Amino acid sequence: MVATDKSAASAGQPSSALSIELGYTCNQACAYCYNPSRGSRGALPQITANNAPTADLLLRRVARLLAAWNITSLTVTGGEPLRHPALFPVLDGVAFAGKPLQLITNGTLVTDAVAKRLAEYRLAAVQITLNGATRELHSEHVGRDSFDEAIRGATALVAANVPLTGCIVVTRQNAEHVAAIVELWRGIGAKQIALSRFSPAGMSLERMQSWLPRRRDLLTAFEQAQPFARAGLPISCTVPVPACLLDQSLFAPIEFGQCAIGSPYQEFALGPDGALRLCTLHAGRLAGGRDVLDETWDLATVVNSAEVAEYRSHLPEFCQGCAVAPSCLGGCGASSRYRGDGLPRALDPLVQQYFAVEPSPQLLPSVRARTSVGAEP
Amino acid sequence: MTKHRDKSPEIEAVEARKIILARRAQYMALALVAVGAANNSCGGDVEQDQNAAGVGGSTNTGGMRMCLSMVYGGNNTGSVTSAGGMTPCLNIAVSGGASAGGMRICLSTGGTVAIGGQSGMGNAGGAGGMRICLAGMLITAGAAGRTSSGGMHPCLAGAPSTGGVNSNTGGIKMCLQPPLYTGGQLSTAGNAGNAGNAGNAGNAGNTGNAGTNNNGSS
Repeated sequence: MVATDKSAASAGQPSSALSIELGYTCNQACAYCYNPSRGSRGALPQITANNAPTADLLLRRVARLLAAWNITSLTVTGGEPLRHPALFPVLDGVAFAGKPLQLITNGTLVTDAVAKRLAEYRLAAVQITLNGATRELHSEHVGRDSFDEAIRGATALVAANVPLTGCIVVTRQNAEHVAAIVELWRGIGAKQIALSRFSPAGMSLERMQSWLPRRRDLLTAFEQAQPFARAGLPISCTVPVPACLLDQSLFAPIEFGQCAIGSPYQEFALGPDGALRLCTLHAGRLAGGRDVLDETWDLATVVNSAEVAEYRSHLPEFCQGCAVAPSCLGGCGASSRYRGDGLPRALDPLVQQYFAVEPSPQLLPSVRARTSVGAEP
Repeated sequence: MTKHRDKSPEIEAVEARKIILARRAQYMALALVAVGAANNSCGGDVEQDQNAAGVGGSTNTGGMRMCLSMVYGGNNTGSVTSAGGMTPCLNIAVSGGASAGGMRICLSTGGTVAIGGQSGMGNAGGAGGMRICLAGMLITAGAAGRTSSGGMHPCLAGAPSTGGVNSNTGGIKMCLQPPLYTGGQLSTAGNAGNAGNAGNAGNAGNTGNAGTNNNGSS
Protein backbone atom coordinates (compact mmCIF):
# COMPACT_ATOMS: atom_id res chain seq x y z
CA MET A 1 0.00 0.00 0.00
CA VAL A 2 1.18 3.47 -0.79
CA ALA A 3 -0.06 6.01 1.67
CA THR A 4 0.45 9.71 1.72
CA ASP A 5 0.74 12.13 4.55
CA LYS A 6 -2.14 14.40 3.70
CA SER A 7 -1.00 17.13 6.05
CA ALA A 8 2.44 17.27 4.49
CA ALA A 9 1.05 17.20 1.01
CA SER A 10 -0.50 20.59 1.40
CA ALA A 11 2.43 22.46 2.81
CA GLY A 12 4.20 23.92 -0.13
CA GLN A 13 5.17 20.72 -1.81
CA PRO A 14 5.99 20.98 -5.48
CA SER A 15 3.25 19.70 -7.73
CA SER A 16 3.71 17.28 -10.54
CA ALA A 17 2.09 14.38 -12.28
CA LEU A 18 3.99 11.12 -12.42
CA SER A 19 4.22 8.44 -15.06
CA ILE A 20 5.38 5.07 -13.75
CA GLU A 21 7.13 2.86 -16.28
CA LEU A 22 6.95 -0.73 -15.15
CA GLY A 23 9.34 -2.02 -17.78
CA TYR A 24 10.09 -1.78 -21.46
CA THR A 25 9.14 -5.18 -22.76
CA CYS A 26 6.30 -5.14 -25.22
CA ASN A 27 4.46 -7.49 -27.55
CA GLN A 28 4.41 -4.89 -30.30
CA ALA A 29 7.14 -3.07 -32.18
CA CYS A 30 5.47 0.20 -32.99
CA ALA A 31 7.07 2.43 -35.56
CA TYR A 32 6.28 5.42 -33.39
CA CYS A 33 7.55 3.94 -30.14
CA TYR A 34 9.29 6.61 -28.10
CA ASN A 35 10.56 4.16 -25.58
CA PRO A 36 14.06 5.42 -24.85
CA SER A 37 15.63 2.07 -24.14
CA ARG A 38 15.02 0.71 -27.60
CA GLY A 39 16.61 1.62 -30.85
CA SER A 40 20.23 2.25 -31.64
CA ARG A 41 20.27 5.47 -29.67
CA GLY A 42 18.96 3.81 -26.55
CA ALA A 43 20.21 5.77 -23.62
CA LEU A 44 18.82 3.80 -20.74
CA PRO A 45 19.79 0.49 -19.26
CA GLN A 46 18.00 -2.40 -20.90
CA ILE A 47 15.20 -3.62 -18.70
CA THR A 48 14.12 -7.15 -19.44
CA ALA A 49 11.93 -9.67 -17.73
CA ASN A 50 15.00 -10.81 -15.83
CA ASN A 51 15.93 -7.53 -14.25
CA ALA A 52 12.58 -5.79 -14.16
CA PRO A 53 11.81 -4.18 -10.84
CA THR A 54 9.53 -5.95 -8.45
CA ALA A 55 6.25 -4.46 -7.36
CA ASP A 56 7.69 -3.83 -3.92
CA LEU A 57 10.62 -1.92 -5.35
CA LEU A 58 8.38 0.11 -7.62
CA LEU A 59 6.01 0.96 -4.82
CA ARG A 60 8.79 2.04 -2.50
CA ARG A 61 9.96 4.44 -5.17
CA VAL A 62 6.48 5.79 -5.74
CA ALA A 63 5.98 6.17 -2.01
CA ARG A 64 9.08 8.33 -1.75
CA LEU A 65 7.82 10.58 -4.50
CA LEU A 66 4.36 10.77 -3.00
CA ALA A 67 5.90 11.89 0.26
CA ALA A 68 8.01 14.56 -1.42
CA TRP A 69 5.65 15.91 -4.03
CA ASN A 70 2.06 16.88 -4.33
CA ILE A 71 1.40 14.37 -7.09
CA THR A 72 -1.62 15.39 -9.06
CA SER A 73 -2.13 12.23 -11.09
CA LEU A 74 -0.50 8.90 -11.77
CA THR A 75 -0.09 7.11 -15.07
CA VAL A 76 1.04 3.50 -15.25
CA THR A 77 2.72 2.53 -18.49
CA GLY A 78 5.48 0.43 -19.96
CA GLY A 79 6.46 -1.09 -22.36
CA GLU A 80 3.27 -2.96 -22.24
CA PRO A 81 2.22 -2.86 -18.59
CA LEU A 82 -0.05 -5.88 -18.87
CA ARG A 83 3.01 -7.98 -19.66
CA HIS A 84 4.54 -6.96 -16.39
CA PRO A 85 3.77 -9.16 -13.38
CA ALA A 86 3.91 -6.14 -11.11
CA LEU A 87 1.01 -4.35 -12.74
CA PHE A 88 -1.81 -5.32 -10.44
CA PRO A 89 0.25 -5.19 -7.25
CA VAL A 90 1.35 -1.72 -8.27
CA LEU A 91 -2.22 -0.70 -9.00
CA ASP A 92 -3.23 -2.10 -5.64
CA GLY A 93 -0.58 0.02 -4.01
CA VAL A 94 -1.00 3.30 -5.79
CA ALA A 95 -4.79 3.16 -5.65
CA PHE A 96 -4.57 3.94 -1.96
CA ALA A 97 -2.89 7.21 -2.73
CA GLY A 98 -6.22 8.51 -3.94
CA LYS A 99 -4.80 10.16 -7.01
CA PRO A 100 -6.37 10.15 -10.46
CA LEU A 101 -4.98 7.03 -12.06
CA GLN A 102 -4.54 6.22 -15.72
CA LEU A 103 -3.24 3.17 -17.54
CA ILE A 104 -1.63 3.21 -20.97
CA THR A 105 -1.70 -0.11 -22.78
CA ASN A 106 -1.87 -1.37 -26.31
CA GLY A 107 -4.98 -3.27 -25.30
CA THR A 108 -4.00 -6.56 -26.83
CA LEU A 109 -3.83 -8.36 -23.50
CA VAL A 110 -7.08 -6.98 -22.13
CA THR A 111 -9.51 -9.84 -21.77
CA ASP A 112 -12.96 -9.63 -20.26
CA ALA A 113 -11.51 -10.78 -16.97
CA VAL A 114 -8.71 -8.22 -17.09
CA ALA A 115 -11.19 -5.49 -17.94
CA LYS A 116 -13.37 -6.37 -14.98
CA ARG A 117 -10.36 -6.38 -12.72
CA LEU A 118 -9.24 -3.00 -14.02
CA ALA A 119 -12.71 -1.64 -13.41
CA GLU A 120 -12.22 -2.20 -9.70
CA TYR A 121 -9.58 0.51 -9.58
CA ARG A 122 -11.92 3.20 -10.80
CA LEU A 123 -9.31 4.40 -13.22
CA ALA A 124 -9.66 7.86 -14.67
CA ALA A 125 -8.94 6.33 -18.05
CA VAL A 126 -7.31 3.49 -19.90
CA GLN A 127 -5.65 4.64 -23.09
CA ILE A 128 -5.31 2.37 -26.10
CA THR A 129 -3.88 3.31 -29.47
CA LEU A 130 -5.35 2.45 -32.84
CA ASN A 131 -3.50 3.72 -35.86
CA GLY A 132 -5.78 2.49 -38.55
CA ALA A 133 -9.38 1.57 -38.99
CA THR A 134 -8.23 -1.47 -40.93
CA ARG A 135 -6.14 -4.41 -39.88
CA GLU A 136 -3.53 -3.63 -42.49
CA LEU A 137 -2.94 -0.03 -41.56
CA HIS A 138 -2.90 -0.65 -37.83
CA SER A 139 -0.56 -3.60 -38.20
CA GLU A 140 1.77 -1.58 -40.38
CA HIS A 141 2.14 0.84 -37.49
CA VAL A 142 2.53 -1.61 -34.63
CA GLY A 143 4.64 -4.26 -36.29
CA ARG A 144 2.31 -7.19 -35.91
CA ASP A 145 -1.24 -8.23 -36.63
CA SER A 146 -2.87 -7.12 -33.41
CA PHE A 147 -5.82 -5.15 -34.71
CA ASP A 148 -8.47 -7.59 -33.56
CA GLU A 149 -6.84 -7.99 -30.19
CA ALA A 150 -6.76 -4.25 -29.60
CA ILE A 151 -10.39 -3.89 -30.65
CA ARG A 152 -11.41 -6.73 -28.42
CA GLY A 153 -9.52 -5.26 -25.48
CA ALA A 154 -11.02 -1.82 -25.96
CA THR A 155 -14.48 -3.27 -26.28
CA ALA A 156 -14.02 -5.28 -23.10
CA LEU A 157 -13.01 -2.18 -21.19
CA VAL A 158 -16.09 -0.28 -22.32
CA ALA A 159 -18.26 -3.24 -21.39
CA ALA A 160 -16.72 -3.15 -17.93
CA ASN A 161 -17.44 0.57 -17.64
CA VAL A 162 -13.80 1.54 -17.71
CA PRO A 163 -13.38 5.03 -19.19
CA LEU A 164 -11.61 4.53 -22.48
CA THR A 165 -9.36 7.04 -24.20
CA GLY A 166 -8.83 6.29 -27.85
CA CYS A 167 -5.39 7.35 -28.97
CA ILE A 168 -4.26 7.89 -32.55
CA VAL A 169 -0.66 8.62 -33.41
CA VAL A 170 -0.80 10.69 -36.56
CA THR A 171 1.83 9.58 -39.03
CA ARG A 172 2.48 10.20 -42.67
CA GLN A 173 0.83 6.87 -43.37
CA ASN A 174 -2.44 7.27 -41.52
CA ALA A 175 -3.20 11.00 -41.62
CA GLU A 176 -5.84 10.71 -44.30
CA HIS A 177 -7.55 7.93 -42.37
CA VAL A 178 -8.01 9.80 -39.12
CA ALA A 179 -11.74 10.29 -39.63
CA ALA A 180 -12.25 6.57 -40.04
CA ILE A 181 -10.20 5.84 -36.96
CA VAL A 182 -12.04 8.38 -34.84
CA GLU A 183 -15.30 6.95 -36.10
CA LEU A 184 -14.13 3.51 -35.04
CA TRP A 185 -13.20 4.82 -31.62
CA ARG A 186 -16.55 6.50 -31.24
CA GLY A 187 -18.32 3.31 -32.19
CA ILE A 188 -16.37 1.35 -29.61
CA GLY A 189 -17.30 3.85 -26.97
CA ALA A 190 -14.20 5.92 -26.32
CA LYS A 191 -14.92 8.83 -24.03
CA GLN A 192 -12.24 11.00 -25.54
CA ILE A 193 -9.61 11.00 -28.25
CA ALA A 194 -5.93 11.63 -27.75
CA LEU A 195 -4.82 12.74 -31.17
CA SER A 196 -1.11 12.44 -30.83
CA ARG A 197 1.55 13.10 -33.41
CA PHE A 198 4.52 11.07 -34.41
CA SER A 199 7.37 12.23 -32.21
CA PRO A 200 10.74 10.88 -33.20
CA ALA A 201 12.24 9.82 -29.93
CA GLY A 202 13.59 6.52 -28.78
CA MET A 203 12.93 3.73 -31.23
CA SER A 204 11.03 5.94 -33.63
CA LEU A 205 14.08 8.09 -34.30
CA GLU A 206 15.14 5.51 -36.86
CA ARG A 207 11.81 5.79 -38.65
CA MET A 208 11.63 9.55 -38.78
CA GLN A 209 12.35 9.92 -42.47
CA SER A 210 9.42 7.85 -43.59
CA TRP A 211 6.91 8.27 -40.77
CA LEU A 212 7.18 11.88 -39.71
CA PRO A 213 3.99 13.63 -40.84
CA ARG A 214 4.35 16.60 -43.06
CA ARG A 215 2.43 19.76 -42.44
CA ARG A 216 -0.17 18.76 -44.97
CA ASP A 217 -0.65 15.47 -43.16
CA LEU A 218 -1.37 17.23 -39.91
CA LEU A 219 -3.78 19.60 -41.61
CA THR A 220 -5.60 16.65 -43.06
CA ALA A 221 -5.69 14.83 -39.75
CA PHE A 222 -6.98 17.77 -37.77
CA GLU A 223 -9.54 18.66 -40.40
CA GLN A 224 -10.83 15.12 -40.33
CA ALA A 225 -11.00 15.07 -36.55
CA GLN A 226 -12.58 18.46 -36.16
CA PRO A 227 -16.19 17.47 -37.04
CA PHE A 228 -16.12 14.86 -34.30
CA ALA A 229 -14.91 17.44 -31.81
CA ARG A 230 -17.63 19.80 -32.92
CA ALA A 231 -20.13 17.03 -32.37
CA GLY A 232 -19.05 16.81 -28.76
CA LEU A 233 -16.33 14.17 -28.67
CA PRO A 234 -13.44 15.60 -26.65
CA ILE A 235 -10.31 15.54 -28.79
CA SER A 236 -6.91 16.74 -27.73
CA CYS A 237 -3.63 16.91 -29.55
CA THR A 238 -1.45 15.67 -26.77
CA VAL A 239 2.02 16.23 -28.14
CA PRO A 240 2.98 19.83 -28.86
CA VAL A 241 2.74 21.14 -32.39
CA PRO A 242 4.84 24.24 -33.06
CA ALA A 243 2.72 27.36 -33.32
CA CYS A 244 4.44 28.48 -36.50
CA LEU A 245 3.52 25.27 -38.30
CA LEU A 246 -0.21 25.84 -38.35
CA ASP A 247 -2.91 27.95 -36.82
CA GLN A 248 -4.27 25.72 -34.11
CA SER A 249 -7.27 27.94 -33.50
CA LEU A 250 -8.68 26.93 -36.86
CA PHE A 251 -9.25 23.44 -35.55
CA ALA A 252 -11.24 24.34 -32.47
CA PRO A 253 -12.63 22.75 -30.41
CA ILE A 254 -9.72 20.36 -30.74
CA GLU A 255 -7.44 21.24 -27.86
CA PHE A 256 -3.73 21.55 -28.40
CA GLY A 257 -1.38 20.79 -25.60
CA GLN A 258 1.92 22.44 -24.97
CA CYS A 259 5.01 21.11 -23.39
CA ALA A 260 4.45 20.99 -19.66
CA ILE A 261 8.03 20.49 -18.61
CA GLY A 262 8.96 23.10 -16.06
CA SER A 263 5.34 24.01 -15.42
CA PRO A 264 2.98 22.95 -12.65
CA TYR A 265 1.48 20.43 -15.07
CA GLN A 266 4.66 18.55 -15.70
CA GLU A 267 4.55 14.77 -15.71
CA PHE A 268 7.85 13.27 -14.71
CA ALA A 269 8.67 9.77 -15.84
CA LEU A 270 9.85 7.29 -13.26
CA GLY A 271 11.77 4.63 -15.12
CA PRO A 272 12.11 1.00 -14.14
CA ASP A 273 15.68 1.79 -13.16
CA GLY A 274 14.44 4.21 -10.52
CA ALA A 275 15.63 7.32 -12.32
CA LEU A 276 13.50 10.32 -13.15
CA ARG A 277 13.21 11.88 -16.59
CA LEU A 278 11.56 15.05 -17.80
CA CYS A 279 8.81 13.05 -19.47
CA THR A 280 8.33 9.62 -20.95
CA LEU A 281 9.71 10.75 -24.30
CA HIS A 282 12.92 12.11 -22.89
CA ALA A 283 15.87 9.80 -22.56
CA GLY A 284 18.04 11.95 -20.35
CA ARG A 285 17.94 10.98 -16.72
CA LEU A 286 17.86 13.66 -14.07
CA ALA A 287 20.53 14.04 -11.44
CA GLY A 288 22.85 11.74 -13.26
CA GLY A 289 20.42 8.84 -13.12
CA ARG A 290 20.15 8.55 -9.36
CA ASP A 291 17.55 6.16 -8.05
CA VAL A 292 14.78 7.96 -6.21
CA LEU A 293 15.40 5.59 -3.35
CA ASP A 294 18.72 7.32 -2.75
CA GLU A 295 18.09 8.79 0.68
CA THR A 296 20.66 11.50 0.11
CA TRP A 297 18.61 12.89 -2.75
CA ASP A 298 16.17 15.53 -1.61
CA LEU A 299 13.37 14.79 -4.04
CA ALA A 300 11.48 17.92 -3.08
CA THR A 301 14.12 19.92 -4.91
CA VAL A 302 13.74 18.07 -8.19
CA VAL A 303 10.57 19.65 -9.50
CA ASN A 304 11.92 23.15 -9.35
CA SER A 305 15.56 22.30 -9.85
CA ALA A 306 17.67 24.25 -12.29
CA GLU A 307 17.90 21.14 -14.45
CA VAL A 308 14.15 21.27 -14.92
CA ALA A 309 13.51 24.98 -14.81
CA GLU A 310 16.19 25.78 -17.36
CA TYR A 311 14.65 23.43 -19.84
CA ARG A 312 12.16 26.05 -20.86
CA SER A 313 14.82 28.63 -21.54
CA HIS A 314 16.82 26.54 -23.98
CA LEU A 315 15.03 27.27 -27.19
CA PRO A 316 16.12 26.58 -30.73
CA GLU A 317 17.76 29.56 -32.39
CA PHE A 318 14.82 29.69 -34.77
CA CYS A 319 12.52 30.48 -31.86
CA GLN A 320 14.58 33.21 -30.26
CA GLY A 321 12.55 36.38 -29.97
CA CYS A 322 9.25 34.76 -30.82
CA ALA A 323 6.28 36.08 -28.92
CA VAL A 324 4.83 32.66 -28.25
CA ALA A 325 8.06 30.84 -27.55
CA PRO A 326 7.58 30.90 -23.78
CA SER A 327 4.56 28.64 -24.13
CA CYS A 328 5.26 26.93 -27.45
CA LEU A 329 8.86 26.07 -26.61
CA GLY A 330 9.35 25.28 -30.26
CA GLY A 331 7.17 22.20 -30.09
CA CYS A 332 8.21 18.91 -28.60
CA GLY A 333 11.61 19.12 -26.99
CA ALA A 334 12.00 15.37 -26.84
CA SER A 335 11.46 15.22 -30.59
CA SER A 336 14.18 17.79 -30.99
CA ARG A 337 16.90 15.53 -29.68
CA TYR A 338 17.62 13.94 -33.01
CA ARG A 339 20.89 15.79 -33.05
CA GLY A 340 21.79 14.00 -29.88
CA ASP A 341 21.95 14.98 -26.27
CA GLY A 342 24.33 17.65 -25.16
CA LEU A 343 23.99 19.71 -28.31
CA PRO A 344 21.96 22.88 -28.68
CA ARG A 345 18.31 22.09 -28.88
CA ALA A 346 17.20 21.64 -32.44
CA LEU A 347 14.01 22.60 -34.10
CA ASP A 348 11.07 20.29 -33.78
CA PRO A 349 11.41 17.97 -36.77
CA LEU A 350 7.89 18.91 -37.85
CA VAL A 351 9.39 22.27 -38.75
CA GLN A 352 12.96 21.23 -39.38
CA GLN A 353 11.98 18.91 -42.20
CA TYR A 354 11.33 21.93 -44.39
CA PHE A 355 14.76 23.43 -43.92
CA ALA A 356 18.01 21.86 -44.97
CA VAL A 357 19.59 23.77 -42.17
CA GLU A 358 17.89 25.71 -39.49
CA PRO A 359 16.91 29.08 -40.90
CA SER A 360 18.78 31.87 -39.26
CA PRO A 361 17.10 35.06 -38.16
CA GLN A 362 18.85 36.79 -41.03
CA LEU A 363 17.00 34.62 -43.47
CA LEU A 364 13.72 36.04 -42.43
CA PRO A 365 13.58 39.37 -44.29
CA SER A 366 14.40 37.83 -47.62
CA VAL A 367 11.59 35.38 -47.46
CA ARG A 368 8.98 37.54 -45.93
CA ALA A 369 5.79 35.94 -46.75
CA ARG A 370 3.77 36.82 -49.73
CA THR A 371 1.26 34.42 -48.35
CA SER A 372 -1.88 35.26 -46.50
CA VAL A 373 -1.13 33.31 -43.41
CA GLY A 374 -4.34 34.05 -41.68
CA ALA A 375 -6.30 32.31 -44.37
CA GLU A 376 -4.13 29.26 -44.41
CA PRO A 377 -4.59 26.70 -41.69
CA MET B 1 -10.66 15.95 -47.02
CA THR B 2 -7.52 15.22 -48.91
CA LYS B 3 -7.00 18.57 -50.55
CA HIS B 4 -3.74 19.18 -48.73
CA ARG B 5 -2.36 15.85 -49.79
CA ASP B 6 -3.10 16.48 -53.42
CA LYS B 7 -0.20 18.84 -53.64
CA SER B 8 3.11 17.54 -54.77
CA PRO B 9 5.72 17.19 -52.03
CA GLU B 10 7.78 19.90 -53.65
CA ILE B 11 4.96 22.39 -53.77
CA GLU B 12 3.87 21.47 -50.30
CA ALA B 13 7.38 22.00 -49.00
CA VAL B 14 7.66 25.42 -50.58
CA GLU B 15 4.31 26.45 -49.21
CA ALA B 16 5.07 25.06 -45.80
CA ARG B 17 8.34 26.96 -45.65
CA LYS B 18 6.62 30.18 -46.58
CA ILE B 19 3.88 29.71 -44.04
CA ILE B 20 6.22 28.74 -41.24
CA LEU B 21 8.43 31.73 -41.87
CA ALA B 22 5.50 34.07 -42.24
CA ARG B 23 3.89 32.91 -39.04
CA ARG B 24 7.23 33.17 -37.29
CA ALA B 25 7.66 36.68 -38.63
CA GLN B 26 4.28 37.59 -37.25
CA TYR B 27 5.16 36.31 -33.83
CA MET B 28 8.50 38.05 -33.95
CA ALA B 29 6.82 41.28 -34.91
CA LEU B 30 4.35 40.90 -32.13
CA ALA B 31 7.17 40.49 -29.69
CA LEU B 32 8.86 43.55 -31.08
CA VAL B 33 5.68 45.53 -30.92
CA ALA B 34 5.09 44.47 -27.36
CA VAL B 35 8.55 45.62 -26.44
CA GLY B 36 8.27 48.86 -28.30
CA ALA B 37 4.69 49.65 -27.55
CA ALA B 38 5.61 52.43 -25.26
CA ASN B 39 7.77 54.10 -27.84
CA ASN B 40 5.27 55.16 -30.37
CA SER B 41 5.87 58.83 -30.25
CA CYS B 42 7.96 59.18 -33.31
CA GLY B 43 6.21 61.16 -35.90
CA GLY B 44 6.87 61.71 -39.48
CA ASP B 45 8.94 58.65 -40.09
CA VAL B 46 8.43 56.33 -42.94
CA GLU B 47 9.89 53.15 -41.75
CA GLN B 48 9.72 51.11 -44.84
CA ASP B 49 7.84 51.17 -48.01
CA GLN B 50 9.08 48.61 -50.40
CA ASN B 51 5.87 47.73 -52.04
CA ALA B 52 3.89 49.01 -54.84
CA ALA B 53 0.54 49.99 -53.66
CA GLY B 54 -2.36 49.14 -55.81
CA VAL B 55 -5.62 50.87 -56.04
CA GLY B 56 -6.20 52.57 -52.84
CA GLY B 57 -2.98 54.12 -51.96
CA SER B 58 -1.85 54.79 -48.49
CA THR B 59 -1.49 58.12 -46.96
CA ASN B 60 0.11 58.74 -43.73
CA THR B 61 -0.04 62.14 -42.35
CA GLY B 62 2.20 62.98 -39.54
CA GLY B 63 2.65 59.49 -38.43
CA MET B 64 4.86 56.53 -38.57
CA ARG B 65 4.12 53.58 -40.74
CA MET B 66 5.80 50.29 -40.71
CA CYS B 67 5.23 47.76 -43.33
CA LEU B 68 6.39 44.27 -42.71
CA SER B 69 4.46 42.63 -45.43
CA MET B 70 4.76 42.63 -49.14
CA VAL B 71 1.61 44.57 -49.54
CA TYR B 72 -0.08 46.67 -47.07
CA GLY B 73 -2.86 49.10 -46.70
CA GLY B 74 -4.22 50.37 -49.87
CA ASN B 75 -3.40 47.47 -52.01
CA ASN B 76 -6.74 45.90 -52.00
CA THR B 77 -9.98 47.59 -51.52
CA GLY B 78 -10.12 50.92 -49.96
CA SER B 79 -7.22 52.52 -48.40
CA VAL B 80 -5.59 52.86 -45.11
CA THR B 81 -5.35 56.27 -43.74
CA SER B 82 -3.48 57.07 -40.68
CA ALA B 83 -3.61 60.59 -39.53
CA GLY B 84 -0.96 61.30 -37.08
CA GLY B 85 -0.66 57.77 -35.94
CA MET B 86 1.35 54.69 -36.30
CA THR B 87 0.03 51.96 -38.48
CA PRO B 88 2.10 48.89 -38.85
CA CYS B 89 0.51 46.28 -40.97
CA LEU B 90 1.73 42.78 -41.29
CA ASN B 91 -0.83 41.30 -43.51
CA ILE B 92 -2.68 42.12 -46.58
CA ALA B 93 -6.28 42.36 -45.79
CA VAL B 94 -6.57 45.74 -44.38
CA SER B 95 -9.44 47.11 -46.25
CA GLY B 96 -10.20 50.58 -45.46
CA GLY B 97 -9.31 51.30 -41.92
CA ALA B 98 -8.93 54.57 -40.23
CA SER B 99 -6.77 55.28 -37.32
CA ALA B 100 -6.92 58.73 -36.04
CA GLY B 101 -4.02 59.52 -33.91
CA GLY B 102 -3.59 55.98 -32.96
CA MET B 103 -1.64 52.92 -33.58
CA ARG B 104 -3.08 49.95 -35.36
CA ILE B 105 -1.48 46.71 -35.96
CA CYS B 106 -2.96 43.77 -37.67
CA LEU B 107 -1.18 40.51 -37.80
CA SER B 108 -3.77 38.37 -39.33
CA THR B 109 -6.74 38.68 -41.47
CA GLY B 110 -9.40 36.95 -39.52
CA GLY B 111 -11.09 36.01 -42.68
CA THR B 112 -12.52 38.99 -44.40
CA VAL B 113 -12.53 41.27 -41.48
CA ALA B 114 -9.28 42.88 -40.73
CA ILE B 115 -8.45 43.14 -37.12
CA GLY B 116 -9.75 46.37 -35.89
CA GLY B 117 -10.62 47.33 -39.36
CA GLN B 118 -13.55 49.19 -40.61
CA SER B 119 -15.44 46.30 -41.99
CA GLY B 120 -18.85 47.79 -41.94
CA MET B 121 -20.10 45.50 -39.26
CA GLY B 122 -17.42 45.64 -36.73
CA ASN B 123 -16.78 49.30 -36.95
CA ALA B 124 -13.88 49.01 -34.66
CA GLY B 125 -12.23 52.31 -34.35
CA GLY B 126 -8.89 53.00 -32.94
CA ALA B 127 -9.12 56.55 -31.93
CA GLY B 128 -6.02 57.50 -30.19
CA GLY B 129 -5.46 53.98 -29.17
CA MET B 130 -3.43 50.99 -29.92
CA ARG B 131 -4.78 47.69 -31.04
CA ILE B 132 -2.82 44.61 -31.63
CA CYS B 133 -4.26 41.34 -32.65
CA LEU B 134 -2.63 38.26 -33.87
CA ALA B 135 -5.23 35.61 -34.27
CA GLY B 136 -8.01 36.03 -36.65
CA MET B 137 -10.83 34.88 -34.54
CA LEU B 138 -10.58 37.55 -31.95
CA ILE B 139 -12.60 40.17 -33.64
CA THR B 140 -14.83 38.50 -36.05
CA ALA B 141 -17.84 39.82 -37.71
CA GLY B 142 -19.74 40.73 -34.67
CA ALA B 143 -22.95 42.54 -34.58
CA ALA B 144 -21.61 45.24 -32.48
CA GLY B 145 -18.37 47.00 -32.83
CA ARG B 146 -15.41 47.05 -30.62
CA THR B 147 -13.98 50.32 -29.74
CA SER B 148 -10.65 51.06 -28.36
CA SER B 149 -10.40 54.64 -27.42
CA GLY B 150 -7.16 55.76 -26.09
CA GLY B 151 -6.31 52.32 -25.01
CA MET B 152 -4.24 49.36 -25.80
CA HIS B 153 -5.83 46.13 -26.81
CA PRO B 154 -3.42 43.40 -27.70
CA CYS B 155 -4.65 39.92 -28.20
CA LEU B 156 -2.75 36.92 -29.20
CA ALA B 157 -5.16 34.09 -29.66
CA GLY B 158 -8.38 32.65 -28.66
CA ALA B 159 -11.69 34.31 -28.71
CA PRO B 160 -12.00 36.39 -25.63
CA SER B 161 -14.60 38.49 -27.25
CA THR B 162 -16.53 36.88 -29.99
CA GLY B 163 -19.56 39.00 -30.06
CA GLY B 164 -21.32 41.85 -28.58
CA VAL B 165 -19.87 45.01 -27.43
CA ASN B 166 -16.30 45.02 -26.37
CA SER B 167 -15.37 48.42 -25.38
CA ASN B 168 -12.00 49.33 -24.15
CA THR B 169 -11.78 52.88 -23.18
CA GLY B 170 -8.55 54.18 -22.02
CA GLY B 171 -7.36 50.92 -20.77
CA ILE B 172 -5.11 48.06 -21.52
CA LYS B 173 -6.56 44.70 -22.39
CA MET B 174 -4.30 41.85 -23.03
CA CYS B 175 -5.37 38.35 -23.61
CA LEU B 176 -3.05 35.55 -24.29
CA GLN B 177 -4.26 32.09 -24.98
CA PRO B 178 -3.97 30.16 -21.77
CA PRO B 179 -1.51 27.37 -22.22
CA LEU B 180 -2.92 23.91 -22.10
CA TYR B 181 -0.45 21.54 -20.64
CA THR B 182 -1.09 17.97 -21.30
CA GLY B 183 2.24 16.31 -21.16
CA GLY B 184 2.82 13.22 -23.15
CA GLN B 185 -0.55 11.74 -22.73
CA LEU B 186 -3.99 13.07 -22.57
CA SER B 187 -4.22 14.92 -19.35
CA THR B 188 -6.95 13.89 -17.05
CA ALA B 189 -6.19 16.51 -14.54
CA GLY B 190 -7.61 19.40 -16.43
CA ASN B 191 -6.27 22.86 -16.32
CA ALA B 192 -7.75 25.83 -14.77
CA GLY B 193 -8.24 28.64 -17.15
CA ASN B 194 -6.28 31.79 -16.83
CA ALA B 195 -8.08 34.51 -15.16
CA GLY B 196 -8.73 37.43 -17.37
CA ASN B 197 -6.54 40.41 -17.06
CA ALA B 198 -8.11 43.18 -15.22
CA GLY B 199 -8.10 46.40 -17.05
CA ASN B 200 -5.30 48.71 -16.23
CA ALA B 201 -5.34 52.36 -16.04
CA GLY B 202 -5.67 53.73 -19.46
CA ASN B 203 -2.98 54.79 -21.76
CA ALA B 204 -3.45 58.10 -23.18
CA GLY B 205 -4.02 57.91 -26.86
CA ASN B 206 -1.35 58.86 -29.22
CA THR B 207 -2.10 61.98 -30.92
CA GLY B 208 -0.80 62.66 -34.31
CA ASN B 209 2.54 64.07 -34.90
CA ALA B 210 3.48 66.56 -37.41
CA GLY B 211 4.75 65.55 -40.76
CA THR B 212 3.47 64.27 -44.02
CA ASN B 213 4.43 61.12 -45.73
CA ASN B 214 2.89 59.71 -48.76
CA ASN B 215 3.50 56.14 -49.50
CA GLY B 216 0.73 55.41 -51.79
CA SER B 217 2.53 55.02 -55.01
CA SER B 218 5.90 53.92 -56.05
